[in-house]
Amino acid sequence: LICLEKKLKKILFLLILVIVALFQITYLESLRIFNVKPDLILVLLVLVSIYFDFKKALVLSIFLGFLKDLFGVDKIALNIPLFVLWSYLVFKLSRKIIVEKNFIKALFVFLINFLHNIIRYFIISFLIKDQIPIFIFLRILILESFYTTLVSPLLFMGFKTFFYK
Amino acid sequence: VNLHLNKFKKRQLINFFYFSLFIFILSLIIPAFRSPVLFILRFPLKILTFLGHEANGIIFYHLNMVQKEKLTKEVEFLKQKLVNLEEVSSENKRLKKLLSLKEETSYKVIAAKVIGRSVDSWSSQIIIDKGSSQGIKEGLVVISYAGLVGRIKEVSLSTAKVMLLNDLNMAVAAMVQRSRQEGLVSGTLSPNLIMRYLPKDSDVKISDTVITSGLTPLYPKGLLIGTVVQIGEEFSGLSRYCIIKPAVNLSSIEEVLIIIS
Repeated sequence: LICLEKKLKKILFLLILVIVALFQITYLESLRIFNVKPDLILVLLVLVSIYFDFKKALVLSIFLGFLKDLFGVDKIALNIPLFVLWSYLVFKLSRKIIVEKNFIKALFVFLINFLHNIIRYFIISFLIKDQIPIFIFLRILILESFYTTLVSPLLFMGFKTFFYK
Repeated sequence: VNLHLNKFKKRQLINFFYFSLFIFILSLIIPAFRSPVLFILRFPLKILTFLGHEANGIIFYHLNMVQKEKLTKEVEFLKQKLVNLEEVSSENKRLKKLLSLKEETSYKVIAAKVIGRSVDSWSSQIIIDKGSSQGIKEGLVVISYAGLVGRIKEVSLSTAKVMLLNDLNMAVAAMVQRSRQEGLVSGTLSPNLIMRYLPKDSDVKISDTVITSGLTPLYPKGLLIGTVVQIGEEFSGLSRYCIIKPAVNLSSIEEVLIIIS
């Protein structure tokens, strides 16, 4: 019975990840500020990399990358390798720093979002073969990183409630 | 001990190589899975969109009521105007016949509902509830009753992704309706668009209407893009640019029309 409960919880967790991804492409649109919206999938990536063991975190990072690539239009699923890289980075960092406080976790979210946006900028610049105006890059880089960081404690709480119940 | 350590490192390196190869192959094949997965996810997406739409209706009840009153008055006014225009239109047809001009046919369109939007801030797109089974193809032009919206970027069996006008990848040959001045309209990932490559002495004014010029074969001539809200000079000083407010509110669009022929 305990085994079944554990399995159900795993399925439920995967379902929650999918629901958060669906939220990302529907309701979050109305929360745009300066045409920028928080990246909840990236927050989830940081959380799974902090709380799960390396193998689980790696599998979930591939799953989250898949979810993000699913709703994009890129010919190559670039989010998967990037998410694996960020997951590895967060996993290694979280084993060296005490991450119990929400402030530290939020800092991780900021760092990963910042790095992710920089890489995305270079990829998009390469793909569209045109220079993206610097103000567009800075607007998305800075605002999205801060916005996602500010929203992330809500997901931290939800995550904690789900796993400690 | 050294030999053992070397063996361990070698094994780790091989594992890393295989894992990287796996991720690389996964990155290449994942786009092929989009169509079947989106087919499954279109139902929860439709439900979420419907719930959001209903919640909006309740939250903005008073605003909607005021807007309804305003629009009812506007409809009455436009009805009157339409009668006059019909008269002009029939006169125009008669005159065209006399001049033996080829009559322009109206577009054949398919209506679709928006069920999803872009996943991050680096792209501007919508997901619609019509796909290849309804005749949607990649590259088709998407409009709304107000004007140009974008074009179909990716099609699955029952859904399609539309790249909006304000996406960085978008570029539409356009012209100022009044002066016929041509330029290139592209997206800025913000609510406004930018029209570039205008000569320094170009005849562009604030509030000018911008339409498609038909130079990009994909977009039919005469589709409304928006109005000029700001005019500036490029950094090089050789040309001008203008900021355009799209005729369609791209951030809150709920229904679109796809021109199929």
